[in-house]
Amino acid sequence: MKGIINIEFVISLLVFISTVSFVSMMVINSFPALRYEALSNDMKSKAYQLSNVILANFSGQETYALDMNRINEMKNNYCYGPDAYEAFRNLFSENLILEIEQLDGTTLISCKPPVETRLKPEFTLKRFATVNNEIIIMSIGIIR
Amino acid sequence: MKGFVRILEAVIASFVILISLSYFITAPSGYDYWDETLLRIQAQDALASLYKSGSLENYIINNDIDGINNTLTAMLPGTADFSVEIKGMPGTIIYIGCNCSDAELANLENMLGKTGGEIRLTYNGRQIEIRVSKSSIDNIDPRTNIYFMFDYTDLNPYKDKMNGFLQAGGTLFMLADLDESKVEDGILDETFGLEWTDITASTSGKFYNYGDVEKRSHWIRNYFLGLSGNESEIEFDNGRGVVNDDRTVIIDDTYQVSKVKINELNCGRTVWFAGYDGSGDMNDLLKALILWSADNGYRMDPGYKTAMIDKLKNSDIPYTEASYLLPNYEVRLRVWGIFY
Repeated sequence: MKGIINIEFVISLLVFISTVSFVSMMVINSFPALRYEALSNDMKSKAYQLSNVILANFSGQETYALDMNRINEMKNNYCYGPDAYEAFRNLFSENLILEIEQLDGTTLISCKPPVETRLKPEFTLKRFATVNNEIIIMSIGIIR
Repeated sequence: MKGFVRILEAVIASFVILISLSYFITAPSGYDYWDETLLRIQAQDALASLYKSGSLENYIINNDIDGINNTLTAMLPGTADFSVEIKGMPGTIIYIGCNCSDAELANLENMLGKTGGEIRLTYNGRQIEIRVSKSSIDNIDPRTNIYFMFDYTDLNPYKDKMNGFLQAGGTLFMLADLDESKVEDGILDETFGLEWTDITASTSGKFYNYGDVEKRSHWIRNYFLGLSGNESEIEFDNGRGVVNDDRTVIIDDTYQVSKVKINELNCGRTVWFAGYDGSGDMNDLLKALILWSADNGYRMDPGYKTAMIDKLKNSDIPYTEASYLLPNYEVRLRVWGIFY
């Protein structure tokens, strides 16, 4: 009987292994949710920060009153041409989508990647301002 | 038996550990407030943009409820509903019930500037109509915003009716010179918040502490300036003996005695006005007080939203609020998710 392991040891080992497995599974399972939450928070806060930067950059003397010349400047330099989006992305160090349109749907500027993906997480924030006393919707999208 | 007990102990201990660990290790999945925050940012942007575009003031001046609602509907998310409230601006029609004779009614209408058979005020470019009618305190029209009393009226016999009117958000307005016994009648001291003093006031009065936006005198002075453009002191005919406090609107030069005083109750308001002499300044002050009395948060919402907004006030449905402060009034935009 000396060669046989004590039944108490076997059961204790099982209990220990199941406890460790349970805890490990729980920790591992929480990672995707926490990672997604962190990513989501990061995208939202980044979108808000960039929207403020862009609003301030496009504004003239007054906040919420955007200068059409500055919008056109951005459009001509970063939103048209084969390598335009690459330059636009480097400008903000983000995979960014910027669209400005009037309430009636007229698009003033649209800077987005040449190929759209639905696989990567994306968050879009809408802000409002005015251009020449017309209300505009500015959409800032962050792709990760 | 000894081995069995040990196994049992181990099993119980492991359960305790598992339960404790699950408490500490569970991933936080609380409400992160982002939805509310983003909605608030959009609401604040919407008000600021409406103002910058010049639309906001046009909508308010022209009482264009459909216009402001259609624009905000196009701006805010489709899953959100909203309500627009203007503070510091009464509705387009003010109903005054007057406890008075025919002659007093005509007098009140003249004091408010009746011309061409109607009373219309222009305040910040906005037309406001005042409709005055005789009314018994026993039977006040439910549309009445202000119940006006010429001279001292003992309201003790009508206490229940009066409280019902105040509960509905009405304002009791008394234009009367008082003495100590009248001030201490149980209504003027408790409901109107008046307290007698033997100090004699100077004849000249001015707006009390109007630089402080927390004081109602600040807002009433805004109405006064909007109507008269006059920033000078107002002359009153004689001294009155009511103690000054934060509810004072007009204070005498000695800075001790109130000449006009308001009180804001949980529901409803009161105004006491003494020393009226019929001058143009006095009439503008009277109109300013009437505009303030009727300013109970004017809502620019379509009628079908009323039930939802009432429900919102009396429930825990989460909502977010943005506001935009203009020189003479404040616009508040309340937004909530329709799938709450």
